Order: sequence, then C-alpha cells, then structure tokens
Amino acid sequence: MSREERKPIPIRRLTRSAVLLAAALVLGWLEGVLPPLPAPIPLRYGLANVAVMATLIFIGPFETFSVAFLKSVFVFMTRGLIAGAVSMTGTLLSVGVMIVLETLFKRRTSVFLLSISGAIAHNLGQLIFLVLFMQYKISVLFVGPYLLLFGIATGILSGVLLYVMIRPLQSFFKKRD
Amino acid sequence: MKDKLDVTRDRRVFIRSRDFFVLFALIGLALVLFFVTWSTRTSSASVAKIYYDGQLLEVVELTSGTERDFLFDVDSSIVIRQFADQSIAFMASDCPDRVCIRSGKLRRPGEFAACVPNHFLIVIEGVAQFSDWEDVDLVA
Repeated sequence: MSREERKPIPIRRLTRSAVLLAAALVLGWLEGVLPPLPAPIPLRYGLANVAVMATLIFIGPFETFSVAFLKSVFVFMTRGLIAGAVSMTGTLLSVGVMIVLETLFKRRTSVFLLSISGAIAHNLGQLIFLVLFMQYKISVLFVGPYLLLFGIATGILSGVLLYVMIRPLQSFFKKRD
Repeated sequence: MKDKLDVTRDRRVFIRSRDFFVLFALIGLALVLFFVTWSTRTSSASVAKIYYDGQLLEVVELTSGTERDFLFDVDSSIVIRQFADQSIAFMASDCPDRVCIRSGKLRRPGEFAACVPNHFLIVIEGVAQFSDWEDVDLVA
C-alpha cells in the first residue's frame, strides 16, 4: 500500500474539492470572456455550475456548499463587493435547490433536472438580490419568461457538459482511491 | 478504503421520463407569463427608465430618428446612448466586467441592463404598461 493510499478520507475529499473549486474558477473566468448570451436580459452561461454539480455528485453537499461559497468569494475579490454579493445569492440558492433535490431523490437526481433547476435558481437568486437589496425596479413578471427559458437552455448546456465529463472524472478520481 | 460515494456514480442518468413533465411545466409557465405580459401591452411605443441607486434619473422616450448621449453627474464614467432605431445601450462604464456594455442594445419592453458596481439600471417599459397595470381585469 503506497503512502497516498493510506491518507485519510477527509484529505482526499479536501483535495478533490480543491480541484473542483479550481475548475469552477477557471470556468467562471472562461465565461467572462465568452460573447454574451443573446438574451434580452443579462444572463450567464453558468459554466462554473458544471464544477459545482460535479462536487455534489462526486463528493457531497457540504463540500458543494464550500466550493460554491469560495467561488463567490473569488468573485468578490476580483470584481468587487456587489458583484460578489450578486454571485453569492445566486450560487447559494442554486446549491440549496440542488442539495434539496439530491436529498429528496436519494442521490439519484438526473443530471438534466439537477442542472436546469440549478440554473433557474441561480438566475432567480441574482434577480431577488437585485430587486430586494439593490432596489432595482425590474418587473419579475416580464423577466420571468426569459429567466425560465434561458435557465432551461443554459441548464441543458451545463448538464450535457457535466454528463460528458462524468466518466473521465470518475476514472480520474478512482485512480486516486 | 473504498469511498462510499463511488457507489452512486454509475447510476447517474442524463434524463428520466418524469423530467419531461418538469420541462413542459416550466415551458408552459414561461408561455403563460409571456402571454400575460404581452396582452397587457397597450402600445408599441416604449420608454427607457434610467435608475441610479433605485432612484429614477431619466425617462427616455424611444422615438425613431433620435440619437443622443446621456451623461450623469452622479457618475461621470457612465455613458448611455439613445439610438435612432428606438433602442438604448450602455456605451461606457469603469466597472471591471463590463456586463452592462455587453448587454447591448435594449428596445423591447421588459428588457433591462444593469451596471451593478455603479448602481445603474436601464429598464424598457411599454408606454402605460405599468401605470395601467392595476386596471387590468385578469378575470374578465
């Protein structure tokens, strides 16, 4: 048995979480340089959510919460307090919804359901922050359809990316078990 | 030692048949909201409302052929331009990510662009859309 194999599980979970946090940060940066979504309201692709969902599937709810929280802390450090707060509310609501789904369906939630509910909750959380805390005069009724339809579209995109990555990630992590 | 979480990995599927009900319900909800907002529009004319920190700074009638820039004392880095094609957009801002500028031209009621770091918001509204909102009889 090698030295690495004798490492306790918490260290392995920590390093896995760190790898996925790094992936979330890179995907978040990549999203920033991509052309904007052709949406009438400012929405994002939600690529970083792929890493957050992977954390939920491969590691656990607590680590997912930590990865999402630290991802928003990074936004706060690089893009300022308000952008960080907007990111934090969206991300935490999204993670909350995904954790509830995973608990309800006993870790058997489909990737599709997980990703579209996460994407819609993320957009909704950001909107709630803008309306409640920034006092933005945005009609939720007008924004609602865009939020839902683009949430579905970006959710499908991140869901497909995650599904494609599940096997490679599985082998990557198994090699280190 | 085998990680207990590994057991569940192989069972993950992309979509289940019940997910289609969720998908259709969400699309249905979006269509209902579209219909409700579309049916309450009383005019094709639009105005752009510019807010700073939640306070209304400017109401711009998006009339055809008018092109002008808006500058504000509260933040000199912000430039908003009204275009001749009845649209409006953020043109300049000193915010780090430029999400407001990347939002592009706004013209249809309900569209908005926000410069969150500088507390600026542009919202497009149909004329009389919100003032008539209380009078809409949804039952009839």
